[in-house]
Amino acid sequence: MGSISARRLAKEYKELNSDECPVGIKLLQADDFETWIIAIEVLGETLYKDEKFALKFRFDPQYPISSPAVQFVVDEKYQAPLHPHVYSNGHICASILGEGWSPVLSVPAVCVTLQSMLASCKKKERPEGNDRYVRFAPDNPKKTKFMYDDDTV
Amino acid sequence: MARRVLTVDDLRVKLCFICREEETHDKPEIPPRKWVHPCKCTLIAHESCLLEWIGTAESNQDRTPESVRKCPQCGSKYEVYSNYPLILQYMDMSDVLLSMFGRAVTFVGVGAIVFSFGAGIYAMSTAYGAMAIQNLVGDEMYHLLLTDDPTNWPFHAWINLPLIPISLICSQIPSFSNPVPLHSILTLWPSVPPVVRPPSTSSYLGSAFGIFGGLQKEIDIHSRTLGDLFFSWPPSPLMINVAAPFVRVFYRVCFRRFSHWVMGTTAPARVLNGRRQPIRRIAFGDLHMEFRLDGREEPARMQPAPPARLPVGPPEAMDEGIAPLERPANVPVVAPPEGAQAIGAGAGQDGGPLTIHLTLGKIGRIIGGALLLPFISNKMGAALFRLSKHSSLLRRFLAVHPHGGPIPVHRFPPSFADSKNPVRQLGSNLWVITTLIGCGSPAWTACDPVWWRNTVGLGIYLVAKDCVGLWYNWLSDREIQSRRLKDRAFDDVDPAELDLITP
Repeated sequence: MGSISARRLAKEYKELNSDECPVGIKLLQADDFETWIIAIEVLGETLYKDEKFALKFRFDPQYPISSPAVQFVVDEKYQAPLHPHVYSNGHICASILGEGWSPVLSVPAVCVTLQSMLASCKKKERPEGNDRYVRFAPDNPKKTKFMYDDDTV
Repeated sequence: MARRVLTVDDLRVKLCFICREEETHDKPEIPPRKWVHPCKCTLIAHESCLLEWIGTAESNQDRTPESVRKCPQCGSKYEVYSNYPLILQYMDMSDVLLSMFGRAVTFVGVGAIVFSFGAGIYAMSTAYGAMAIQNLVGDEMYHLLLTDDPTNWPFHAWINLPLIPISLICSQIPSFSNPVPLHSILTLWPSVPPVVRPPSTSSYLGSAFGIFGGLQKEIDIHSRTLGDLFFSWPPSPLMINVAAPFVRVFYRVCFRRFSHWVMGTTAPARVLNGRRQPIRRIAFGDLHMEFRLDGREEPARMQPAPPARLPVGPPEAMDEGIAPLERPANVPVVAPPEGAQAIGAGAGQDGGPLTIHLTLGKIGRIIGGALLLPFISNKMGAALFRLSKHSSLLRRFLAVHPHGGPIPVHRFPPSFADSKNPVRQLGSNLWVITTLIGCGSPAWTACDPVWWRNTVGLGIYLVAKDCVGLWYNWLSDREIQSRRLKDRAFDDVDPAELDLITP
């Protein structure tokens, strides 16, 4: 079923490069249908004003039946946002990336959701137990079983 | 006019919300794929795509079927129907039942393994406990109190015996409150009445009166006095239990002073404060692992490898039970041993929290050393006994008395006071119980006090062990201080390269 994933990603690629692309979201790198890097920034008066982040999407051949692995890029250029649901290694605790995923979502939809997650943040802080999680976290955030206990942020 | 019923086939452009493929009504796909509008909103999909999504998502353990079989946008329930014959329903049901059965088998199996493992440990500890008691109290008393036949054992033996190895090991770990090694044996066993059965059926009658085959005489335990409790010799078990912790603390203070004097060091501050710093970390040297006991986070940092031991062989005189004390290489020995501790516990070199550096060798030494204590105590007691044949003073100190005499049996409760006065009766009974716990049973008092010379022997062994350890430290320290480098002549150097005073 690899072709379905490729055809769908090709459409999403086109959408991201067109005028339909949501504001604050820009495709930085998409050399194949496995890994994409997307820049996102939060517009308006938020705690993350003038900050730029990059998201890394990793797709497997079962996409969109299986969810993409999404995390913030942490390298020399980008840092993970300081947010109660974002670990310092870039992993994100958001239900839509795990059990809340459904094929009706797409790359732009995920980006918009994460934008609004950042925009509604009231206090810049790391999640509880960040250090311990980062020390033992798997490379792929999909292998982590998050507990979604807070729907407010 | 009836409202037109609109279906998915009336749409001009169909867009699958899963694969995002489009199909216009005038250009149908070949071969055709069935479209479906399963919910109340505008989302439509290929039936095959939607079924694949439902199938995949339902196999995910984290999701409930209810959360999968509904529209992700409007939330209305999908109705899935299929050909579900009765036979398949039965098979599904039996599949569920079989998995439940399988789970039960796993639980029972794991439980059985855990149980038999625990039972094995329990049996081993109990056998060890019985052996420890035999070694400490001697064969004569052992055959009165316990015997080799477990069916004779009193019920509390099944609790007390397996705890003996544990309490012995705990007594060797400095972070515990250091109970005296033999406490657990000397607290309970003296007051245990003999368990031996009369030798033949004919003396069952005799046993009813507390007489074994007419050989044993009775001691009236009412005749015991306060003197028996406090001033008898060998000391009553009560006195030993009361005095042992004081003796131990006193000894440790003296020995610490002595070792500071020998090593020419001053006592570290934490000893002067009188309070020991809590141990915060346990580091396993050869496994490169570290555990923090206070659970606080700290920046991860690699512990330096534990200091290698100098290739100084332990003195020949040491046997396996003697744990030579660890000393860090190239650092003059600073912290002398604390009493009989076998773990080197010292403040971290950065002045950080107290860390115990453990190695597999150290752990084995602690456990092995602890478990050998009863046997060492037995051998030491036997050596003392042999020595006592040459010295009447030692014989009196060890209270050796030849066995073979009648073993008294206390009648309990039949010989309770006959007095009609209930207050006197109560007082009398309390006194009997007190002396029983304090002095031990008449059988205990009448037997040759092997336990006493073994206890004394163990004490001598522990002191000797500390002294050998101190001696080892002292010799090592002297070796380090005596190190010099050998001076050599410039034999292989061209004299022209050297800036000499007189060329």
